[in-house]
Amino acid sequence: MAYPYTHEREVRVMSRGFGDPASRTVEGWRKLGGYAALEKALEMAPEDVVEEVKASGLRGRGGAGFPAGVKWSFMPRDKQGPHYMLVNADESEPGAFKDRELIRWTPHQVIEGALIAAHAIRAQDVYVYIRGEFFEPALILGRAIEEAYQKGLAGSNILGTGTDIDVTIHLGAGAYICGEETALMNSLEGRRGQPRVKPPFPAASGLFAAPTTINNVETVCSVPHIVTNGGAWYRQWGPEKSPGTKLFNMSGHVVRRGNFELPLGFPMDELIFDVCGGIRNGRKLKAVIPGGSSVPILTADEIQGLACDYESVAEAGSMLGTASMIVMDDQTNMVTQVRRMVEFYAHESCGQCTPCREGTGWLVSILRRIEAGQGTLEDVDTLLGVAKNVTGTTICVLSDSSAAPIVSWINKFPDDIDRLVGGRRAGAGTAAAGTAAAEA
Amino acid sequence: MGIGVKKVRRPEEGTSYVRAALKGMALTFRHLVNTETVTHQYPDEKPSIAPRWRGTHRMEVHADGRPKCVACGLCPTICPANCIRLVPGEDDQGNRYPIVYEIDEYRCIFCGMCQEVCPVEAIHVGQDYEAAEFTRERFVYDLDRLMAQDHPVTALWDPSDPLSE
Amino acid sequence: MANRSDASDQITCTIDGQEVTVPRGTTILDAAEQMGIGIVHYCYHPALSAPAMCRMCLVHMEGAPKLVPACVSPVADGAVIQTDAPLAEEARTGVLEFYLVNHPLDCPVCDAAGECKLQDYVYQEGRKHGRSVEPKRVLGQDDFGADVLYDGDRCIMCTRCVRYMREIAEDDRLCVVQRGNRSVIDTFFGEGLDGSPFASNIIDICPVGALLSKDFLHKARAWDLDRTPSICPNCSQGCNITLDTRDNLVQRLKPRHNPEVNSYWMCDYGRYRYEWINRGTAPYPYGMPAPAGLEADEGDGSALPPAALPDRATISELRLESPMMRRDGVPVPVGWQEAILGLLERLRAVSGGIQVIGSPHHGNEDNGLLKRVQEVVGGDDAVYRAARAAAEVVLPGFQKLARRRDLAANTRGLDALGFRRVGDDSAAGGLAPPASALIVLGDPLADLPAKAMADAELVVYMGAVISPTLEKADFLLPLTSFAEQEGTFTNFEGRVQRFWPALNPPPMARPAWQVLGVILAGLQDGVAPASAGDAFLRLAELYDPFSGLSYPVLGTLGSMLNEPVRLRAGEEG
Repeated sequence: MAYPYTHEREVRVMSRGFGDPASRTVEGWRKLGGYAALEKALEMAPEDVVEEVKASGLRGRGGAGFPAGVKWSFMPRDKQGPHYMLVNADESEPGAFKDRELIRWTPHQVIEGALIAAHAIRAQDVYVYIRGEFFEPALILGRAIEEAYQKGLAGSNILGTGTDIDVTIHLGAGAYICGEETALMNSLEGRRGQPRVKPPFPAASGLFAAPTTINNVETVCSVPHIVTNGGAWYRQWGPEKSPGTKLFNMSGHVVRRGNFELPLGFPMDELIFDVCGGIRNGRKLKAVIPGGSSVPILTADEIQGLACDYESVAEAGSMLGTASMIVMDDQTNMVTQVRRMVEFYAHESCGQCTPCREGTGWLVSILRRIEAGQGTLEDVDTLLGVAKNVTGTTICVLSDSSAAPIVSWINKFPDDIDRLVGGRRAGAGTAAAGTAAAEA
Repeated sequence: MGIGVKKVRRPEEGTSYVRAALKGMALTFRHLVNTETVTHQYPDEKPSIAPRWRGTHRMEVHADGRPKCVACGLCPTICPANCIRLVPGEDDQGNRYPIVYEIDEYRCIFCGMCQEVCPVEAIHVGQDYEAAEFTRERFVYDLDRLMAQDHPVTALWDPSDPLSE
Repeated sequence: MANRSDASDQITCTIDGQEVTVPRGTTILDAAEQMGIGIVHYCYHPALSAPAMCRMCLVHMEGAPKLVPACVSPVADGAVIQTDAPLAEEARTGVLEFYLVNHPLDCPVCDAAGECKLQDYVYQEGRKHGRSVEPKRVLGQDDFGADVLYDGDRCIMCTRCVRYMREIAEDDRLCVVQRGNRSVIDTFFGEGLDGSPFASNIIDICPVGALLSKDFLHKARAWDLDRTPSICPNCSQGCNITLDTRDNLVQRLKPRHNPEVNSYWMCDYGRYRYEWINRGTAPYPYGMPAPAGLEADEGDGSALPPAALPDRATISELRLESPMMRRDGVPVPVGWQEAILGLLERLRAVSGGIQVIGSPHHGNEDNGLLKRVQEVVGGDDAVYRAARAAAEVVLPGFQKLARRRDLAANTRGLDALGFRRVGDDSAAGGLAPPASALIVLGDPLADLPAKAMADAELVVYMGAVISPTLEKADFLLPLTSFAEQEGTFTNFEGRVQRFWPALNPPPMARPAWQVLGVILAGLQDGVAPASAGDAFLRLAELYDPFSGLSYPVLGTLGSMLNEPVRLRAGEEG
């Protein structure tokens, strides 16, 4: 097929419409089996939908991997005020581009999944918060929503069942932090996009202080297939604790870059060397960031035989996150890479908590100096010390995310930094140092 | 009852003035013929003083002639003799500076704490001891006079031995 | 407290090894505060919402996955909290270091030095150097309008000011602009804080020197100031304040916490009208009517005192510094004893009773004893004059506080003592040339013609300054102003509150209660009070509204008139 790259080992459940503009219409989506799930779900009791999703073991695809069904079951059963269903389409993690493709090619899949989720949590409103830069996807989704309204698939009295659910798009203004669920809510309410202190959690007091569930686009897109085919069907893929299929966003120095839908638990080395066709220009693999820029890096050795599921990657000392893999070849300068990453976080820090506001900026200054060859060994210690101090001291985890790469990169690839500061730190580069730093 | 008086008999050598007078004269005569004179020909000849000598004050100035003082108020606070008067203000560039800065050298005990406390190294005690004046009012040095002083400033500690060990 | 004993409302937790029982919902920070454990914080302010963003108050709670912010986390029943756990200490040290990364450390030129939380915490911690060697971010200063100057470099982004303007002033004029370490506080499109009548409170709540008062800029160092608890004399709200004085001059007014009157706030109108206190006069001294526009335009609270006040030197020449007695048609300085004896002689000879004019800028004791003198000598015409503004200016987020219409501190006290208000809203007119004997307290009667006193049997003037009208008075007795003596004011709602002496009066000036007390003793009406507290007790005996009140009862927060009060345990005497 024509969609940039596909592979015979893919399991195309969510990505079945990718590359085919026809699937952007209601008709096209129905041809692919769409809206059957919505019809089925609306006839089910909300609790039954939640149970089905719980049975499937679907885990949130936004990065944390929290079971979606369990999250839905946190919503109060006796509805006393409005409930809200939010779809987090503020996909801003460097390396991630799965939600954009889902919205671009199969907007009705998003709408259908969101409507089912809204039904399950007894919400009467769905808000889709789309990242400001996603202008084309927002247009496509907007057209799809209009069409769904016209065909009686959204709005009042959906499919004649008497259920009313409105779907609204909200375009963000391009802040990374608005992908954090509570910052997203603040932004949606018209405030500054700054994360809120938790507790209270969204299920108790979220958008407009009402019970709210927020799910990633990919999570929502998995739901219709689970409802149609049942939770047990979904469990045919992946290990016990991370069932199902997942879009892997491959970028960096691989031959074939793009989205690949694979069962969870797929071996990472096969993903890179078989599905993606190996490293460009015949170079050697140096490192992989397995789940978007916020997670610790893995070396070429560490990914040998590593299964791509939440537990296995966590055991290897990193996180699967959004499964947005950035692959780096042996020509990559890790100091430059980490500087660019941290610059991103410093730029995107909302400025609320002091450790993040001042810390990320400080980290950038140190890294810039080191990269320019003006750093010293003490600077590396300072760098690690600052990275430690920004971890766990803030409201959200943006600063943790900026610190995690620094610590793991410095410890796993000491050569790059040692060359620049002209000396080797005691104990650097050993496995023990890497583990200790990762734990810190 | 009578008062018991104890009479002490001192030896003749200890009470005779002749001996002492001769001793003193001997010293005088010895210096008369001594070639190594110790008299300083002051004021033609100034004695050298220790680098840690604390004398009358001096205010350091910037290259453009402004005083270095930022009118932080620490010296009047620390001054044990309460001899510094300071009125802070803002100059045309928005910098804090002393509108009035006066030190009453007559009250000053030359402890040097003002120099030690100064965060911008503006006020110093100096290696100067010629502070005589005809009136008491003249002992109150204003800012201009402090800035015009040109004697060397005091080293509060020996740079090679900062802890005086 | 009594109905709070319900077990479900009270929970017990352990903080730093000590058990404490607090109402459910109390935050860790408040609970610790009750026990005398101070948890450091910047963004938290008891009167504002808590965003938990300064990250200084992180404490260790057993069972919590990471450190919890004490300012927003309610204590749970049985929770074990350690404020000084090694992890918490480490986090605090780390966070404090971040504050210093871009802070200019210009304490020598910063007005907040000495009352700066950043200074305090760093000093407390004992850090000598930060690790940062990077160049600091430079943002510069920004004039926010009104009296507020913003220094972006010193700002620690606690957003107390933003939240104050949003939640208390309900006048959303400040916001955070930009994000990350480029954040600054700014006003909208240069609109500024002009015309916001309570804006200067943000200077008080700023924990560092980022928000400065232009009026106080470079005027005095915090450690040079003497702070005296007092009551704002500029309107009848009776805000609790401190008079910050130096060199026997008031340098600024700062609000003092009183949950019943002004919380942590005060208005700009009161805050910047302190020059008259230094002169020892009434707010609108001799020869000066109330400033133009005061009645008409009160919407903005007119932040700064009018520029056209006569300078201090001119006014201080008018200060009455010695008792004067008319001899052969000429006032001559005399000693107090001579003046009082002479006055007693004349008072005993008064035929048709006396008229008294009280002053709303003097305390209850002064006016009450004046009224008593009238009752003893005879006569029933007791009046006072006070300036009045056109409207109140209410603080929306704390509606108990407003700049009241009466622009004098003690109008309610005078009403309670039986004085009658005369004259117009600029404290002028309403007085006929006196025919009988007259005792004037405080009011220089500047609007009366000089010959108005010609027909009076006896004119006694007690006050701080004199005017040409009074040069023909028979007795001129120098008084201390409210800032130079102890006493009480009664605010608009009848709350009697104490103030304390902050300034040294001229050597011969005496408090009015003392002078009047001696006169009363001379008229065989009791013994002269030895202190302001005695004079107040006398008041409580004589006048019903004050009955039951005494200085110990008033305490620091004051008590209401007409309310039967009991001494609380341990406060007897």
